[in-house]
Amino acid sequence: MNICIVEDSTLTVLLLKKTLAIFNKDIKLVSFTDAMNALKWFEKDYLKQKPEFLLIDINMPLMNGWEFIDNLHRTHPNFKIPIYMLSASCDPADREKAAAYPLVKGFIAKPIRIETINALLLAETTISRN
Amino acid sequence: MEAIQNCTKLQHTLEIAEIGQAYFNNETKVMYFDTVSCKIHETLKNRFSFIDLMRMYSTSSAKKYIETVRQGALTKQSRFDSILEIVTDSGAKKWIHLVGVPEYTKDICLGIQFLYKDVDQETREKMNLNLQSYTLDSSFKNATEGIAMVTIGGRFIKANPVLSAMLGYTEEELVNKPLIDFVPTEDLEELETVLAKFLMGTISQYQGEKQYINRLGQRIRVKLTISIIRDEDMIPLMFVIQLTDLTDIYQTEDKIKNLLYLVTDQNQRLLDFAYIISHNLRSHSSNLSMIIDLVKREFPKDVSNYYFPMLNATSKGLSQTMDDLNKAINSYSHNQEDVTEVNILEHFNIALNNKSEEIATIKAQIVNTIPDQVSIIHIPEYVINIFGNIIDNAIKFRNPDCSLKLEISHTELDDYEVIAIKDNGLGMKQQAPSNKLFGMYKTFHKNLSDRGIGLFIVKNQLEALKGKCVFESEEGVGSTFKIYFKK
Repeated sequence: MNICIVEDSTLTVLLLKKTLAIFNKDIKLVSFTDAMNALKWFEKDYLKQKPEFLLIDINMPLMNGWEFIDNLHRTHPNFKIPIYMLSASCDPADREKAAAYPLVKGFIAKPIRIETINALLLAETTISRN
Repeated sequence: MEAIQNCTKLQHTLEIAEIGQAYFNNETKVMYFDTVSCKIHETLKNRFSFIDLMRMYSTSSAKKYIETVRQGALTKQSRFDSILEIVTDSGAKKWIHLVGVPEYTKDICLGIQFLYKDVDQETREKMNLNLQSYTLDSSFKNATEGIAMVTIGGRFIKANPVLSAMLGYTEEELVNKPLIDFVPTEDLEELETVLAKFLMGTISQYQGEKQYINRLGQRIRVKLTISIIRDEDMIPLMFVIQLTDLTDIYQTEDKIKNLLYLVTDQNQRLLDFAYIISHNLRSHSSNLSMIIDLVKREFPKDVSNYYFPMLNATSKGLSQTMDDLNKAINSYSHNQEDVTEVNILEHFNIALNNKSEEIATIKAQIVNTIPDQVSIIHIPEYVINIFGNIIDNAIKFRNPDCSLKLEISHTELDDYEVIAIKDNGLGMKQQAPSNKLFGMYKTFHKNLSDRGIGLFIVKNQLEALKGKCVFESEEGVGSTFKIYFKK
């Protein structure tokens, strides 16, 4: 299973990796701490290691999560891979915003709980099997 | 014969000159008018009793003459020669010039010979002119702005005290000083052009924001007004210069600008701080929680470490604080567009429905008597949140020994719509001052999940629209929150 993470905190990426590994040792993670680099990857190489879903941090410097999705849409108008937003703030505006992004399948609140990741993996695995 | 002829001629001349004659008989106290006098006094009668005269000479300027005559205080030398005001038959007032000479035989006053002249128009004009000149002079002296008269050649004729003080000279010193002494060099050309335009008649008034240089060489910002005075033949007589000191206005403006800059700057820093709290700090605290979760899972032995529970509790506390801070930060941001008419009952019910599960679980009883038509001007989300927090509070601090009962009622005051929410919960021993209760992290129930952030937000969301909250409580009986929504 391939998962793509765009998250500016390297520690969070590492901890996510560890958490995911608890449930699935075969998960291959493509992670970016800079949304620009992630965009470049999606432009060229992403089909070689096509992710089952994306975990995108909302609050990143330079380009935030929403801007990243906007740019992704521009380059890939038919992008179909589900996206989960990682949200550290409980800003209600973020939830309202999600309504405008059909690809955004859900929010994962920080601190990310091990059980949440388990539930997420279960859901996505079931879908990919079906 | 010649004398009689001369007398007739004189009579004729007097008539042409519109000078009336009259005679007062001191013995009979009767006054006789000739035709001209009748005309001057605007009367058809030519014979007047003393009472008639008293009425005619009743104005303050005339009274003393009639009094002199009445009291028989005339002497051989007595002469009347005055301009005084009389009251005509029609009741109108009129200025006349009167000359009177007593006639004596030996020491007895036989009568008085009078001459009259109508001087009403010229007297009134003169009085008007005096008044105008008085008014002008007094405004000139007492004006709060500087005023000066300047010759066509550009030298001071007269300056009022304010202008003299502005320039730093006495009124006397300024006389004859050239205007250009006080004009900054860069403005000289413009001033000359302006004055030339005045003289050519192309402009009649000039106004501009300028600077002048006072005696100490300081530059002072002023509003300058120039106008020109011309004579009847339109020949320019002089310029009138008016100066209004703008220093205070500029200083106040500068102060406001500085203050605004300071507030904007501080507000920006607060926003930055809020951002750091809600994002950067939060990111660290959530990583900490994740690490602890992973340690628990991957290294269960380490959990028995003496310090681990403390670390765990600290991390949880930190996350909680982050949550609260985020809520507090988000609770402030509202725009004017969010303010609208809010039906209190409707929004209370929304808040109540949000807690419906919990209320059902604890079997709380709700007695709500808010009338359905009461509305306020507020932000709907705030109103829901205010009620929500107070309901939360009641649930949290309910008495475990009996089921929760909430009574909600409405009172209308002059300035407020008041909603009282009364519970039968734990209550508090001492009445805490409202500001403490509603402060961030002020808590009283030590043993319960005591987080004060909810009431802190209630307070702020109420105050955001000039409302307030009052809290009354009795330990073991219950608490009442009174929410004052500004009408």
